[in-house]
Amino acid sequence: MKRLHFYIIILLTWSMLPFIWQLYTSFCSQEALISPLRTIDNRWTLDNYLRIINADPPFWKYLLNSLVVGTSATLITLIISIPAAYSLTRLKSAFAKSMQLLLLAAALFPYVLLFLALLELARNLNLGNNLLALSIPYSALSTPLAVLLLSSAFRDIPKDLEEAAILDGLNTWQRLKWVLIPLITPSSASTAILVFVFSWNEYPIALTWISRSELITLPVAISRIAGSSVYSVPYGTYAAASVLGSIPLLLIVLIFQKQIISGLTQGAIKG
Amino acid sequence: MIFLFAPAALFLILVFVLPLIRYCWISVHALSVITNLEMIPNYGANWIRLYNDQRFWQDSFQTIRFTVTSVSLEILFAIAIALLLDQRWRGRGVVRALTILPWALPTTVMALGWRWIFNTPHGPIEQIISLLGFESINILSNPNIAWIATVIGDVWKTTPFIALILLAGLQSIPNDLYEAFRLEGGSSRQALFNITIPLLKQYLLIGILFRTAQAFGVFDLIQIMTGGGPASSTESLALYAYLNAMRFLDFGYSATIMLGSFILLVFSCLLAWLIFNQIKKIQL
Amino acid sequence: MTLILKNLNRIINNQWIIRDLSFEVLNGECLALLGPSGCGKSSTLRLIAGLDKPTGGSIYIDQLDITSISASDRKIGMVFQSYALYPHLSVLKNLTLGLKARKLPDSEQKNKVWSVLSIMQLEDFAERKPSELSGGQRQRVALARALLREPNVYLLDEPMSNLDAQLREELRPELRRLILSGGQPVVYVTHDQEEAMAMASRIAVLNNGSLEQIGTPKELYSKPLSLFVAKFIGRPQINILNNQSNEIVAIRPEDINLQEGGINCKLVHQEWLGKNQLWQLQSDYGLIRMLNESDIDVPENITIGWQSTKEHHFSLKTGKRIN
Repeated sequence: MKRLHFYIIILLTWSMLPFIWQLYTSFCSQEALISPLRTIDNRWTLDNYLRIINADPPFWKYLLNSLVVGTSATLITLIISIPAAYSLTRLKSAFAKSMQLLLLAAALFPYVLLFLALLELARNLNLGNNLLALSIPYSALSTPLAVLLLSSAFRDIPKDLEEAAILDGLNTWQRLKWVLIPLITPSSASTAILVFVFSWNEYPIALTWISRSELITLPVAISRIAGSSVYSVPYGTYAAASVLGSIPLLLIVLIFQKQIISGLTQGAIKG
Repeated sequence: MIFLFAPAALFLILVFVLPLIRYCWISVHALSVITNLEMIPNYGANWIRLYNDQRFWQDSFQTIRFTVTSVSLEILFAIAIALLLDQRWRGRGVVRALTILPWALPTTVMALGWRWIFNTPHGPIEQIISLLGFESINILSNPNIAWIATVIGDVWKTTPFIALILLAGLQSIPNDLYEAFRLEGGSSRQALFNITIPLLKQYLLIGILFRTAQAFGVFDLIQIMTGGGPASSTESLALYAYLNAMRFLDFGYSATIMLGSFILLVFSCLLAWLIFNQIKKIQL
Repeated sequence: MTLILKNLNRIINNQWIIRDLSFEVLNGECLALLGPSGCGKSSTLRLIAGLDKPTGGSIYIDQLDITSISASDRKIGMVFQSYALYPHLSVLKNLTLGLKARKLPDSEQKNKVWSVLSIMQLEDFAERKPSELSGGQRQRVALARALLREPNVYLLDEPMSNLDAQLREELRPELRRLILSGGQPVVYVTHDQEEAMAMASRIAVLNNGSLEQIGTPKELYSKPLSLFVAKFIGRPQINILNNQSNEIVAIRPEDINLQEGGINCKLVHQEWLGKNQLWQLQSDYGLIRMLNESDIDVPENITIGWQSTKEHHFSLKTGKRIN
């Protein structure tokens, strides 16, 4: 058992140490940062936090922006993917099989390579600097994985149940609304969280679609702190920003741990 | 039924099919500040330039080196973590949640964190080195080793993803198998190689597939951690394409690089697949 | 109301699932579809329900051709083998869903559901989820849902197969009473001949998608039209005599008597069945099963015989009955 504990401690150190260093940095004064191991009188400070909270726009604005994009992207993805996933389970198997392969290929596609075309799209359709518009590419990029996850959930529902509903006189819409969608709630929740986390964290598209500083999302805001000075990154400010920016996701991970894991693992079983 | 799929299909066409077609179109045109952002057909010129572009090939090499190193290390660590999390011990749930955390946080946040950790001379690593009396290794400024720092950042962030997939695989293996194996006198080490790894194959494959595609498109981490430097030694293909579009405003060439990267990815995957099959045949 | 199937066919991937199937089920009659698994009995049920489309042939309810009417408009009360209760809804909501789909006024929905709940003695379970019910209670809820449909036809797909043997016997009379009281035709699928005989007034035996024979249990037993039916109906199974003639001769174990000067046999195995005992005998005609009263002692020399009128003769080629 001793050895087991040793491994657990190594694992925790490996995953947590960078966070702890951030937390430590965020409370350090600029002098303390320069010589982290020497003893200094005024080592601890809240200045870093005060600076980002009092900045213009204030830091919580970025969190709000990310929240808006994440929520709308998640909703749009579910609204689009649930009917698509259902239809995939009802279509002829050969077509569904090839569709599934295409979806897998799309889910695997390194989407960064699409940013230029998406940027053109934003310019031509006048979608730049618009948070809700940003959720369109996010949900479109999330759709392949979402459809795969949800269609496997639909497939797991015994066929009898839907047939009983047909004989009960329920039409397609009623079957979805009253029977099938309630039954895939766990998978919908996992999918929603994965989409939300993706949208919350997405960087290259947010970087190119949004330029107005009061509209940027959290990842872009943080990268701007890094880019604000050519010679040295204000690490204290940045660390404070990343600590504040991490809190919502920290909560999500702790609360929705089960859904995240089942979403990820469902994705694995799919292939 | 098909109309239920239509909105999703439209979405997919909008963000996957149309962009790829558009890239094919742009890549045979000159489109940059020099052409006043007018599309002027230049046929194969972009492609010839790509073929002769040393930076493109260097970035390809770097991207593949990064991908192969990261994914291999991730798989090794992920197997270890999954085996650890598969055992029963108190507090496992909390540790599992904390393990996912690096995966869930924005790459940009942690990329900057790693940049600070590797900072010379103020970062903790350099501080420890100098405290021990060694000479500064100046990780992020050394073209020979800077890429290793980016690998560390990537491994740290994405190992939990594979570990969770493998954990699901481990939990799908019925316990009877291990008991039967033990009754026949097998050791736990033999069980790992004779039962666990073979039965995990499908999960490993999925993990490798997903991670390879993602690592190949690495962008956020590199752009923020090193900006591609020093001396473009850590520059990935995605970053090179981005720089061409957003800094040099040469969209025609940027599109060509992206298509080229895509072709390279497909080609490498096919090659890896063929080698994999060949190895399997030899083993049989 | 009468249910009529006319020359029904179903072909999937060039394979006959149902082949030229015709039968009639009258008002208030229960017809059992009996056969081994894969014989097409459940497929037949699904065709009647409209869940699958026939490749050819038609289905009528009261002279009305319903072949092209969709499943949800056929007014079919079906009980699935798995009961197919909606797991996320309470019993009450399970039953209300169909009425809600038909947009009945709320008060009427309530009246109907509660009256069926009281008929089925399920009032106390109205708020429970299906997972909190026993097998027998689930079956009653499934049946209640079928009743609420006010159907033209009842279809029951092995409704007893998830229950233990004792409960099955207890529930049979109740089930009969409930489904036959409405006066609709009932089609009852089962693979258990005993259950078919207990539940149905007529039995249709299916084999490889085609109808082997349809008739009352007594007809099937005493005058099987094919070797398949003869072997399928009646336990212990009928004996096929190894007589090297150009036809198959079969005799039921219970029609064989001890008879002086008859066929010489050797006892191979003796099995107690309670009131009866089953002997397995080795003879010139091969292995023969014989049913005796249980108080008979095994004689030293076993010689057996039977009345020739009790023999069943089948064609060697087609397996159909001769005579």
